[in-house]
Amino acid sequence: MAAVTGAWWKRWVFLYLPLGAFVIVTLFPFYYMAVTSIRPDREMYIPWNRPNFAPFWTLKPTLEHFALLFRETLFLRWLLNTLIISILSTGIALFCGLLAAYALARLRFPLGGTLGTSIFVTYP
Amino acid sequence: MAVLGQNASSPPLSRSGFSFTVGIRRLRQATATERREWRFALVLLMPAVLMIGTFVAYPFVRGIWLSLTDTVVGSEGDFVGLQNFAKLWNDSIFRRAAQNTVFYTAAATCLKLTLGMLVALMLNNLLGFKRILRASMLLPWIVPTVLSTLAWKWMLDPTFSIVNWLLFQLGLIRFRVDWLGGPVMALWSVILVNVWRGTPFFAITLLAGLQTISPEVYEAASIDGANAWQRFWTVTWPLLMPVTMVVMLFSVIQTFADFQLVYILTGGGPANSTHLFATYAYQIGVATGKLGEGAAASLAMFPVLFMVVLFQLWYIRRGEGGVTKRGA
Repeated sequence: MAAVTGAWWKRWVFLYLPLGAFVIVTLFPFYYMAVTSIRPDREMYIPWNRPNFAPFWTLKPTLEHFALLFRETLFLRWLLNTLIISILSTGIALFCGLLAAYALARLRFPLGGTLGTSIFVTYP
Repeated sequence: MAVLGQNASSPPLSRSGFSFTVGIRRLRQATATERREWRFALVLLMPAVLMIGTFVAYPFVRGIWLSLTDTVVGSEGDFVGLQNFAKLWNDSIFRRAAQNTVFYTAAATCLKLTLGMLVALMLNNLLGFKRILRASMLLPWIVPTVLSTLAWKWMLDPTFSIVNWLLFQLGLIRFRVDWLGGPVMALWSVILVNVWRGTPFFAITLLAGLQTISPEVYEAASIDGANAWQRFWTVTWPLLMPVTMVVMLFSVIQTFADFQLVYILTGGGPANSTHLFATYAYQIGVATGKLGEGAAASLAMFPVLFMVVLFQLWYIRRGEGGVTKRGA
């Protein structure tokens, strides 16, 4: 591994700071989503150029949006649907894939290579 | 998406012409044991082939047929030949969408490769925290695009944008930037979010590739007096090429056929200026209900994607040859 060597500040300038910036940019939208989800409506609709725009935190966290989600919508049902779909589709894909993979990898039969290639090509 | 699964029905490349005749000859001379093995293979392959046939090949063929008719929702259309394609050719929005798709794919992929490579190199040099960083970086890639794009939509909102606020506080802008309001800015915003989503994947995959490069190669290069840039350009880059290639190809295919990101962030707007092939095909085919024209628009992606796939296969085959030549 070609490590960044030399003065300590070099490691900061070339490693820690840029990586830190990258991780912050990468994760910030998730943090922002989380904060927004507990932000009261009144506070949410403050334009960004007002002095009282406080984007990074909220002083009056509220769970009303979550309450709304569970009480007024069929969110639990949707969650269940998602779960069912993901389990079933994974299961079916695994079943078909396992059998086909075994045949393609271990058994010799005419057009085996061709079939393998064409299955692979359909992936994207 | 039907168009992506195109080639199940078309004859696969290479090897096939040869193995087809061989296959026929061998079918006649097969022993009983061989025949049993073939039958077993057939049974094992059946589910996968049925699935692909039903959900990839059939929609694809049906899509081709639809694109040659003037079908609209609710009425079976008549065969009109290439009229749909001719209409698209003269459609200024479609042309714009084609340009956008090419630009979007090129810009996003280049940026992702550059940033991803930088991050991978930095991570490779890092001593601690590697795992936690890797895990946290994967988040944009794991979280469904629809969700993260919604977050971005809120962050780029013209009135409530935190990005504007940040840039303003940092003194980088004096006035409001309308991220999704103008044609040029909107396209760049879409690219930005795509880069945000895709860079971690590049970084993680390239990092995995970097870790397979033996440190001794670098030692040898250092002893020969190579500086950091030379070590990267003459050792890392060529040795990493196979990994880079695979990542690039996957990224190009996905970016080229991207739908969700644009659909959520701009919906193709403002004034149809940020449409990609996929979103415009959706707008014509599903939102407007002109199934025939929509199918034609989405089939327009096919030649490019098909070429990418051809290249991919060629590269993998070539790689296999290279490995056996170099091996041992």
